[in-house]
Amino acid sequence: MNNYKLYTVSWSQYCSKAESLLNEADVPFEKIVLDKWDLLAAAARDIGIRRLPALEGKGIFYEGLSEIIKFLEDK
Amino acid sequence: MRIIMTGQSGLNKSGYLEESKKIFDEEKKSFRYETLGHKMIENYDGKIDERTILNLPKNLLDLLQSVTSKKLLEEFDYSKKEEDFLILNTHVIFRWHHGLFPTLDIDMVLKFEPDMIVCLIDTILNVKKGLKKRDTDFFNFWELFAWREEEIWLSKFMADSVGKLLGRNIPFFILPKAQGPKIFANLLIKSNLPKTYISFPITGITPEENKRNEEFKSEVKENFIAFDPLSIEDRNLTLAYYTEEEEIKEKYNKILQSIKTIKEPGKKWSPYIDEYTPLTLTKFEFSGIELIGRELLSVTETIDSQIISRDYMLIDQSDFLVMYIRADKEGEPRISAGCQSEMIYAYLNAKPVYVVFSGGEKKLSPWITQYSEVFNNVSECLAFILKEHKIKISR
Repeated sequence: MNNYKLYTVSWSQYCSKAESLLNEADVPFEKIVLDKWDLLAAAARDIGIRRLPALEGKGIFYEGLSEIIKFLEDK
Repeated sequence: MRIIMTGQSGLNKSGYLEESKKIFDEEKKSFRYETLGHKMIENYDGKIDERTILNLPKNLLDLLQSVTSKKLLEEFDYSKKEEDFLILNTHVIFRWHHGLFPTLDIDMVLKFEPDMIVCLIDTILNVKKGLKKRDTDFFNFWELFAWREEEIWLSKFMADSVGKLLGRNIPFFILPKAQGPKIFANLLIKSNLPKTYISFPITGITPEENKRNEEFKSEVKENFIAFDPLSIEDRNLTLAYYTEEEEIKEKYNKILQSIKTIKEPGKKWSPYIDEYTPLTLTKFEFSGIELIGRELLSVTETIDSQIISRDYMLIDQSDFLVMYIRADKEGEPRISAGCQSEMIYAYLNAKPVYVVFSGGEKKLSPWITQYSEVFNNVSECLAFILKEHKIKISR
């Protein structure tokens, strides 16, 4: 079961990097791609994220590659 | 019924009104609109167009406006039959040479005796595209955000003050263009329909939930006048921008550090580098529109501030609020800060709040249940609303 959700866009290098790092660390996650313009606007509003990649798990958000790296280091 | 439609340049309000006319034609209602600016150009003997009209001397422009207004008022049929809809399409204010330029003549407004004032709004990137298409994009990016807000507040001020002068209430609405002309037609033809603000997430819900929600939304939009905050998408710009922030900073910071050391004694200036400097050295492309980093940076706080004030305004013009709260995999509620604030705002402004949450009321915090009626699914919610507001459903 995927405990985490990774919000990404295909045009960001850092989003791809975050995905690779999570895979390498065997973190189970569901990838949600927000490439469509209306999805991007909704994500900002619905879940209040300010930047991507954003990892959501157990009610906590890790926004941006550096936060995700820190999450993996602390894990 | 006489309506003034306002809104900034670049919206193509005439196109929107032309689309609206088709709905009125289908409904066999008489609908006529006139665009003040276009009429002024028509009435001027010399050669002017949208790019040059405001270059005319102020006194000549005032005279041209006054003559055009008089002609327009004479042309309009003053029949007070309910099926007649006369629309005056104008700006309240114009931005020209990076300053403000008043465009609406209060005498004309009083003589027109509007029954409603509507301000059309859209995502600023769409406005910019509209201006580019007409070859009239002379504006700094921040000015387009300011202009939209000026049109909204001055139109509202006009509705309030003209209403006082005429001794009757003049309803005022902001209308997101992305919601299409149907909502405008409903506002005019079916003005007794309840008005609602719908707050439905589309992120993080299952495809089945999304399908049900879309059905519900279309049912609501069919039977009510429903204002959808997602119809303005400015927040995309900041999200896309901040998504690139880390990478940009990583790539530029080393180079910028070397600039910091440049110091020339006796000069009035010195290098200034802060956390935003790397972003000001970029250029972005969004849906075919190029935006330079410093322009985006100048509007990021404005975007957030305008989202809040606009959403509250959409709630103000609604009779009630319908909100969908997502449930996570454990069935626990997930509500964003924005939705929580909207709910409390609506409640404190005496607007009923209807919450749809599939996880059961007991799982919700009292900070939600205290302020709302809770339903397990969209069908129950819709049935309650229809009964509560005595609406016969149209299918």
